[in-house]
Amino acid sequence: MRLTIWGAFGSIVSPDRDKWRYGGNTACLEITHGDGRLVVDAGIGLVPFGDTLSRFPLGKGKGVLHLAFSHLHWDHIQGLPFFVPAFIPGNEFHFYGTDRHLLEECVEKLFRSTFSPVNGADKLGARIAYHELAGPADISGLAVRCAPLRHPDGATAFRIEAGGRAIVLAFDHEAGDDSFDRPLRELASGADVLVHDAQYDPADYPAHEGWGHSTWRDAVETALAARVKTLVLFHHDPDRSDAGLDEFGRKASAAAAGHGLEVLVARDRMVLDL
Amino acid sequence: MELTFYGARGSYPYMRPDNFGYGGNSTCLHLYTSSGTEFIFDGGSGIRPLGASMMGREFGRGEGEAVVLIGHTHWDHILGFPYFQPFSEAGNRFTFLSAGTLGTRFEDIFTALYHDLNFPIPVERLKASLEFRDVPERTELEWKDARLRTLKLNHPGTTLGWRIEADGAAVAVCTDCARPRKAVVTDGLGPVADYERDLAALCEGVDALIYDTHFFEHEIVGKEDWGHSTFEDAVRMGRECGVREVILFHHAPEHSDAQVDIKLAMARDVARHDAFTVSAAREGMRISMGKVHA
Ligand SMILES: [Zn+2]
Ligand SMILES: [Zn+2]
Ligand SMILES: [Zn+2]
Ligand SMILES: [Zn+2]
Repeated sequence: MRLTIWGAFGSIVSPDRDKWRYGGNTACLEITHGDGRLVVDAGIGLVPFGDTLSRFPLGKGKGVLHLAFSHLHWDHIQGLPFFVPAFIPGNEFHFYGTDRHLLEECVEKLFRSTFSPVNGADKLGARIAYHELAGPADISGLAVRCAPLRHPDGATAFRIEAGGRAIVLAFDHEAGDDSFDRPLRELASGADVLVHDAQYDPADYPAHEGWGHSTWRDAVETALAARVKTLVLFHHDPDRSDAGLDEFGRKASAAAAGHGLEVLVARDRMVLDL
Repeated sequence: MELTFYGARGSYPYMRPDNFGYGGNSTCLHLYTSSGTEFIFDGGSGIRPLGASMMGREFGRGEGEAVVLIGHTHWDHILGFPYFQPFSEAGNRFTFLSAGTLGTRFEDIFTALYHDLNFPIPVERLKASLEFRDVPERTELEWKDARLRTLKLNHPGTTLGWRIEADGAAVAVCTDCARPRKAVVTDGLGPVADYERDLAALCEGVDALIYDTHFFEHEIVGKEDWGHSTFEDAVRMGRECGVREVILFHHAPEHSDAQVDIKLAMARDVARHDAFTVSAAREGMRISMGKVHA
């Protein structure tokens, strides 16, 4: 199983010079196993992912793409209007969300003539099918399970398993309410990798209570409670510099030390092989 | 008058380590007259760093006032608005001047950016005062010490080019726009000869002509109807209108710094016998014209 992080940041794409090491593209992750592939979220990170596909079936109008959405905030959908394979006739897209009607409405809005010269989602080359995803499902040879997260207007966590490995994606999420935290701990139980919302430092959190994001400490606590092997801090604040993210990594690693938990800080284009 | 670039890219903003020189943020400009009247042009991703810098002065104390001129409402020109901090500060005042697009008012488009499905803060919770004024194309208006003029540009949807005059200087912002020979405006451009005449009048004798140069000549083939121009078009317009400086703008996101450097070198070569200078917009670039703010 391979996890590729194409966009590690939240809120808005932020190409700032002080964070060229970590990046600045918004949420997009790709999980592959053999021929199976599931992409989660379509932030601006979807664009560099699309740029790598020109020689592959999705670049030639012969591809199938499975894309699941954690939720529909801008930073998780904004890359779709600029995703080259969407314009190539013959491609087949399967989009998964908790409410397929809302998802379809949202995709239509992205391509509306107000916002896009494409002038309507019906003008796209790719054909899009919308699916509801709530319970366990098999998508492209990957076993997927979900849990709800605590976030304004909701978000979904995914557990994706194949070949005896498990990756759990938990963003956008504000830890601190056990009615969400307990099912998330169960979903993440024993996972090889947990990618968790870690937008804030515990010191910044009080000013952002209710905004729907966690701290690096929440992420470490969840990972420890779920006995996860590797934690990936994710959904960085666009105003956090490389130095700030290095510091999050150091503090989180120190908090995890002695518990057998490895901590990584997500970067754009980071690849993890399991 | 002082002009600063916060986003010089077109189509979409993009983080890529080989484009830091010119920057990856999409369209956003800031203009300051000598008496302190402030204009912002478009709300691409460059408006986030602009907002952060404005919070360090009156806008951080709720005492700021600015006019937001809208060129058009494609994503690359508006996706930054929800992340512009000065909108959250009570006391700040913003006036938007826009033609909307294809019959939809700008206020409705702006509100859609804050829809609860897509953004956690509803538009009603923005504490600054926001006023929306409809400005049709081919309008002339006075705003404090500045004079403004609009023209609908040849681009899908409704797009305004703006001429801004103050302090004895003038700037024209023409982006996004295709060559006039084939109309790509969804709701019509009118007679091409009239458009060419009025576009030349909009840009006539400006100190700075900021012009769409998205494509190289070899790239525009087959994409003439995408609504963009080349550096040759920008240089030609500068020559025809007797401008002082041509600023290449709306760099394609897939062009690295090296490619924009080549575009600039080629444009300077084409304009080597002309009286104007040529530069390429980059984030942080600042240009002073006429009298400037103390
Ligand atoms: Zn997010
Ligand atoms: Zn969110
Ligand atoms: Zn544009
Ligand atoms: Zn446009």
